[in-house]
Amino acid sequence: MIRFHLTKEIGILCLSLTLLSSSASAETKHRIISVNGTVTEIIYSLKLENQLIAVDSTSYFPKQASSLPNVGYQRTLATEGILTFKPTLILGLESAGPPATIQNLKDAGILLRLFPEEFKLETPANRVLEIGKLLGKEKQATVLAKSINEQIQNLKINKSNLKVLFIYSRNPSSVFISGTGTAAHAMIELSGAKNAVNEFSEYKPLTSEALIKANPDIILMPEKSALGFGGEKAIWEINGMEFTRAGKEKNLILVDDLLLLGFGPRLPLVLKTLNDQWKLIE
Amino acid sequence: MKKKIIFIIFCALFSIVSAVTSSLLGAMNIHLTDLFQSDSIESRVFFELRVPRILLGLMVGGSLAWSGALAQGLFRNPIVDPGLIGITAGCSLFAAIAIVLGTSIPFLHSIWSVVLFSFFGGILSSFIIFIFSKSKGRTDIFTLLLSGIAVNAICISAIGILSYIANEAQLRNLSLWNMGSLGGASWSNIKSFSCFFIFPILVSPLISKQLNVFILGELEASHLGISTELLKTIIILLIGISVGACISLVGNIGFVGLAVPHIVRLVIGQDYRFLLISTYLLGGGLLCFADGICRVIIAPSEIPVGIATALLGSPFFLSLIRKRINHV
Repeated sequence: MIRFHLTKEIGILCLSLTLLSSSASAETKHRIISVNGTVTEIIYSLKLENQLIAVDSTSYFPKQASSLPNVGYQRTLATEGILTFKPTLILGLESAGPPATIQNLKDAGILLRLFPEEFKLETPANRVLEIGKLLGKEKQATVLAKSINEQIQNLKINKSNLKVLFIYSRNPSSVFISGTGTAAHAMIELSGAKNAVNEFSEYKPLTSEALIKANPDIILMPEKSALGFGGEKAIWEINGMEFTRAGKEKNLILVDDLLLLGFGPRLPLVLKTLNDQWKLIE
Repeated sequence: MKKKIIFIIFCALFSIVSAVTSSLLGAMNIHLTDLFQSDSIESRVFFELRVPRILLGLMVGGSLAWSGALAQGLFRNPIVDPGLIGITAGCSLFAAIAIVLGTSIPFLHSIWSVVLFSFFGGILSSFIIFIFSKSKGRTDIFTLLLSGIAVNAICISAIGILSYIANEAQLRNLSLWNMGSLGGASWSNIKSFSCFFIFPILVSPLISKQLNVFILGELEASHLGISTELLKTIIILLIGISVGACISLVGNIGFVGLAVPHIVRLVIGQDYRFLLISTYLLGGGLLCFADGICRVIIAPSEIPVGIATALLGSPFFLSLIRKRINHV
């Protein structure tokens, strides 16, 4: 099992972001609630955390975000709970919900900006630019977006024939694997490997036969999901796993949930590290 | 008689206390002085979110319990709830269609489309069951029940297929909807649907005497001059409209429709002149109170009210059943 920590890289990135960010020229003051971990990360990257008054439960990076009041999970938000903080702006992704809460917040006259769920190489830079523009930090956002794009351009991704199976589960009774059109699929493909399942889109329940048929070389899981699943031992005990290469060679890669699926400013780092892991296993 | 009137007064007081308590509960601390400042966020939260939510809770809880009492009267069985005749499943299926396929069907894009589509589903399923149970101009209760079970099974399977093809966000919306929530309450949906919720109160006095006679048996009731066919049609129609409106607006809320009429029956007996009004008041009060608890228990987030109604009501329900067994 390979569990990688990007502490050093993150440190370097944070330092460079700090140096890049200078004082605001036309900064608009808001009372922001971020209902998505990646959005929160970008707000911190743009040094706008002084405007952040509350976050959702997916906002645990950087660590300081966890000390802010929590409004719950991004998809199960409550109107009154959010209005309690008297926000002027709510930032998140289009998947934020439930729809009734989003409608109620709009009706209450709160400005909402929900970004589309995209899984492209240019997604982090685009989100940075949009948030920067919205909050009057265009200059800093441009510098940060440029830095991200440069890092992406400088990436040397070696193509690999390895088949990677992304597994997502909170308990052993419901195990999901990712088909096409998901953040996990995009991450696997962008980092040079192949998704072991391409027959369907979105996340679908895992069946033993499908697992054996897919015969993945590597199992990729978000850290928190693996923990909830019962750890590495439980993963190898999934029916049919012993017939796959991943199961035989115990090739498991665990990555922090937000880092792996967030498509935030740390995208180049995680792509590079994943690609390095593919090369090692190959 | 005196006991029954006292119980109705108790239920009415419980509803009022629940509404007042619920109005004080919530993520936001609202003081009385805030209410008089029209521009304050506290005043807007109170009048535009909390008050409609409390009213909706009272009306939906009342209507669900009231419909449960009617269903139990129709089947002459105290362990029946409106879900058994497929209305809830019909609503759920059509809501699931709107949630999962909404993005690809042009007229199913807004939140209102889920509500209206689900309402239509409830009415449609009750209509189908009603047609199936008709034979030689008569509505057969036994066939009605069997048709309800079949429609339930079909709807649950179809929801299963939709859950399977749903993406993560749709799946979460679907499961949230199935847990029931009053979070979507607003003055506009109260205005649009209140007629369906107030209607039960108005018709209760007109059908309660007939229902009392119907308990004796269908044949006996018809011998006593009751048009049982008309009564059954009216009851199915009332349950369809009432439950359809409730479920489509707030999602699946279990327990209230089954347990509240049962609780009332255990306390004051079968007399529908008192039973219907008591169940409406008690059901409304219970849902309203449960919703208040849901708003504060993990504030600023909320838990779905369907979970709380079962958690709050079940122990009380169990203790009443236990008491009854001990009496016997």
